[in-house]
Amino acid sequence: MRLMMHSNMPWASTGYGVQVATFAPRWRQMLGHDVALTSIYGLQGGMLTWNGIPCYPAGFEGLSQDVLPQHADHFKADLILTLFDAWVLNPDMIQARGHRWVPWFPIDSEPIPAAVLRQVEKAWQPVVFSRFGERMARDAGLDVRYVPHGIDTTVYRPVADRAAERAQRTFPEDRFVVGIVAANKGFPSRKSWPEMLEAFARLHRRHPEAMLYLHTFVGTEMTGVNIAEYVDHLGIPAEAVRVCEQYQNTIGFPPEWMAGMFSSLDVLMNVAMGEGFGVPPVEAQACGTPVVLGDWTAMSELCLDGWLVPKDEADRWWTPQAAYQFKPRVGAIEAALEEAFDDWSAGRMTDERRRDTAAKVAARYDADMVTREFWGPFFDECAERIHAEAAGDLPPVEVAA
Amino acid sequence: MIAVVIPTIRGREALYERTVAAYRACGSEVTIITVRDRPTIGQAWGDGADAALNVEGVEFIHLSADDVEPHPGALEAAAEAVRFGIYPSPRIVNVDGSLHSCGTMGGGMLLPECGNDTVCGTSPFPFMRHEMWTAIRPCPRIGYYADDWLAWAVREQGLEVRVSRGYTLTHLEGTVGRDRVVRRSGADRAAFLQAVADRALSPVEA
Repeated sequence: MRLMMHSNMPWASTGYGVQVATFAPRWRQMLGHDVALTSIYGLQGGMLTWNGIPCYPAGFEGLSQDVLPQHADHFKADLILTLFDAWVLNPDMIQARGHRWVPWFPIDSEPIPAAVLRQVEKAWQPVVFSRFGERMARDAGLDVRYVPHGIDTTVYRPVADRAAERAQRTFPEDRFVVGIVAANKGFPSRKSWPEMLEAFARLHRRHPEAMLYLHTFVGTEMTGVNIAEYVDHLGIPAEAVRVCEQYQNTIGFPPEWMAGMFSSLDVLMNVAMGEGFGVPPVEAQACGTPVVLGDWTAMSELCLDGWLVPKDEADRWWTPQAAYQFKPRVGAIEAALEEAFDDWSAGRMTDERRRDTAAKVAARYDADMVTREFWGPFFDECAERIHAEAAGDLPPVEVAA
Repeated sequence: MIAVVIPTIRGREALYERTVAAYRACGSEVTIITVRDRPTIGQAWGDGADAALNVEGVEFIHLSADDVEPHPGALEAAAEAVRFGIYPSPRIVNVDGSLHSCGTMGGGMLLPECGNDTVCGTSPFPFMRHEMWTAIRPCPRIGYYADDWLAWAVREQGLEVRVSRGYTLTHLEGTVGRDRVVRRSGADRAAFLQAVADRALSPVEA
């Protein structure tokens, strides 16, 4: 088949961009499909070829939906896949020339927001990337398929020399390092930055050997929390905090560096108000690092080694999209961090445990496996449906005496 | 006359042309029925066999592929077996002359060299009277196991499936464009078994 993926470009260091970079080459190389990419973000002004895959530029409408059908005509696409928040997409624009729209989209609140449902129910075949999303969609009567996000477990795996990786990041061996790898964007903070920072502050007051690593923009440039000021306000001493290099964060960290960083952490904290998937917790666990997550939305299914903040320890919050997300209570996050600290101080975070965690993640989310077990059958199903829909157009039988 | 049904898809033109030339040269009177771009061989065989019913003078229907060469006299040997109430399972050789199979038990279980008239399970390249096709049609629209279903259906009609050594074919082993077909074998197996069950249900059970 000829597959056109409309999303962020594969070189963009965004969650969506990384997934495009992960799967587009595999669709081509492992499944034998012809693939093209179109840009919501990451390419303007002309076409490029990336790893043998043609990349079409953005249009004039904010999400490039004005040029998407023409791009699909030009490429002769059988399917237009989108990897983006569905509620901002316009099915009428995407399908204006009769193309088949396959949104691969997040559901990060409960129930499925009406604004999301209204868009994806017009799609040819919607696809979600969490079992939670699948459940929410089916509860609303939507016929969806499930294909999870994936990671390259040849890169995201426990490093050979963890001590060296920690030293590179100035994480002393005798400190308990809590990491947060999350976008700092919007109010209220979907990633629960204020709650997570306050929980760490409380942990640190009891256990000064705790350290915090922040992989994010710590200022308000993305309309997020003023993390630098808040950390100071909470009384977390500067010596207990490490922040990723801010300019490097703009141009992107190489995956190998990220794997080294995840391997260096003692626990990753990601108690968001809602997650459509949650790639950093999966990447962290693939490197053997346990996680603290919330037991709601997609996070529940991502915790293969770690601690889930109970749902009844979070307050429902009715979002502008008209569905619930969950605001975790600081004390509950603190309690989970305390349990993680206990494991660390008791020597239970062993190399063997890290290897076991990594193996569990690989079995569920390895990109090659996801391609083989989920994308392959899904595209087969699409191909058969397209054949069936075109049954009236099949070539006539030829008889030659 | 023998109607030879040849399914083919884009990308396999060279194999197809070689196959057609071989059938033309095999010494039997044939009508070539080409069925292009069907999603499964079950559907392609079905469409082709249905078309054969409308061709005047057709006595036998042979469901073939686009990567097969019949040996001289092969189709006559198959026709002779059919005249004796047999559903012939061919002896198949590879391009290098080595044996691919001498009949098959179905489900991918290929027989080694064995004697003529050995009772077996199925025929990868069905050969039957056109009246038989009328009796058993339609074929499930599956890829793998379509041949197994057809063998089951003709056994239901009272035929025996036996090896016909004279019905010898060379399989060119064309894998171009078949990745998707290979991946769906599990689903086809389930569909084959369900198709047998659907047809086998008695009216009361149904």
